[in-house]
Formats: sequence, structure tokens, C-alpha cells
Amino acid sequence: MKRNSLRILHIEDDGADRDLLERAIRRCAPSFNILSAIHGDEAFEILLQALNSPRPELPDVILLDLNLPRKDGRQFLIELKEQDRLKMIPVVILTTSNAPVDIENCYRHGAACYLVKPLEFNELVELARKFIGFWLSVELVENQPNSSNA
Amino acid sequence: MISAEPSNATERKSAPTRLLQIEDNPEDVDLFSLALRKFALSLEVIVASDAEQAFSYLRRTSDSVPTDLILLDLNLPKMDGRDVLAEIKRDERLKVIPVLVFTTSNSNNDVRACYHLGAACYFVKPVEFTELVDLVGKIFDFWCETEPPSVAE
Repeated sequence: MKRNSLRILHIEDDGADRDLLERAIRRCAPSFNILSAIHGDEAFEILLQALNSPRPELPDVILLDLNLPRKDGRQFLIELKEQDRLKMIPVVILTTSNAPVDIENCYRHGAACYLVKPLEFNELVELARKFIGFWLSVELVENQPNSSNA
Repeated sequence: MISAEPSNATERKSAPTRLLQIEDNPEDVDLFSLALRKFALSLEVIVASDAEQAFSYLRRTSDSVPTDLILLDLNLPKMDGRDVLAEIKRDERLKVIPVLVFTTSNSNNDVRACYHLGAACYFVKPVEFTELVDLVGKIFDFWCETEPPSVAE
């Protein structure tokens, strides 16, 4: 299914990092729908609300920082991948840590891939361009309308 | 089974990305290889034509020269690709390897099943070679920015 837009859920507690990523993505794709959450609990609220709406509009992909307040990114990933109705959303880790233990654990718990945050904004823009090219080419699960409000 | 000599690189970052392509159609293997050659990629491709070859390779090498990425066709002889995916994601050592499904089916049921089983993502094989080249470029442009799942001891 050819798409020209992505719905992204970006889970990041640092306001500056959140803005930088949004700017980087918008520079390549101004029309993308970017939702933000500052921690795992807020992200789950957004996702459950999306699931329970008559026409579910789940994000196409989740961008996840690991170092979050309250429920940290590692725990969020584990819990998301245990949810039958949410586990099929690809999760791309975007975080500062390049620790092998974090990388391996994220893959172990079902992350699609792992990105270390670039230091320079122009590098972030370049990464966003590649991210967009890749995820626009991917087949994603089509949202099915809810037949009941259960 | 086609395989490349493992590199002796000690520094992980400079080692090529090691890709296992699980694909039984030799034409598709050749086309993919031709598409890859259009790009200057540091990529080592190992091909397995069925589940048995794939698991034999993976289990033999997971400690010494770990596979960074698996490209999986769903239409395989003997053990179906979906079952291969399930088996990889059940195996404690192999489950860390991201699996990119790369297959002809565009059925939403197959897409859903693969994500449920833990595929990293799903691609439909393009019909035209030029589209294949374009897709391969986009896949590896991005994938070369990602961290591999494990570092060999």
C-alpha cells in the first residue's frame, strides 16, 4: 500500500530534543502527523484512546527515547509488545545511549531497530530523511474500523 | 549454500553488516544481489534457501560471527516463512536479530501475522527491477544508520 504520509508517535521527555526531531522531520516531510508523549504512561493513554475510537488511527511507527520519567522507555517497550492490539506497531528506538546492553535488550524486547541520537542538527535531518524514505516503503498493518465499542 | 568468508575485523563499527537472506528462488537472489551492487555498501550477504540451511547457519555462527539482519521470504519449501519467523523469535539467542520480511504477498493478513510474530518490518518485492533498486537503496540507506543487535565477544 503506497503511502505518502506517516503518523508518528514520538515519546521523548526532553522538550528541546522533541522540537529538534519534529523540525528535522518537517524539513523533509511537512505534512506528517507527529504526536508527542513525554513518558510511557502518556503514550499508552494516547494509544488506548486511538484504539477505542470508532475509526482507530493508531500511529504507523513509534519513535522511542529510553530515558523517560515515570515509566522508562525500556519498560514501555516491554509492555507495548505484550499488548495484542498494539504489538504490531513498529518501534524505532532513538536515544542517547550506545550501550551494547541497551541495544541488545531493545532488540530482544521487540524493537524494530535502534538509532543513537546524532549530535548535530544537520545529521538529524539526514537521519530523518533516511527514516522517512524507509518507513514510507514499508507495508504496515491496515487499521480496521471497530465493529463494536468493546 | 552461498556464504562469504567472515571478516576478521576486531572493531565492530568497521565490520560489514552481515545479512542472511532466506530465499529459495535463485532469480530473486540474483536480482537482489544486482540491486545491491548499485550501492557502495559494506554488506556481507549469506543466502540460505530453506529453514534448515538458515537455522544451521545461524546456530553455528551466532557466538562467533553474529548475523545483523535477516531478509525473509515467506514462500519457502518445507518450513513456511511465517514458521521460520516464529522459530527465530522463540530462540533466546536468535530473537535479537531483526527480521525484514521481503516477499510477494501484499495481503493484510500476512502483514499483520508477521508483525505479530515479531518482524521488524515488511516489504513487498517490487515487480520492476528499477523499483527494486530504489527500494534496496532506501532500505540500506536507513539500515546502515542503525545499531546492530549484538557485539561479538
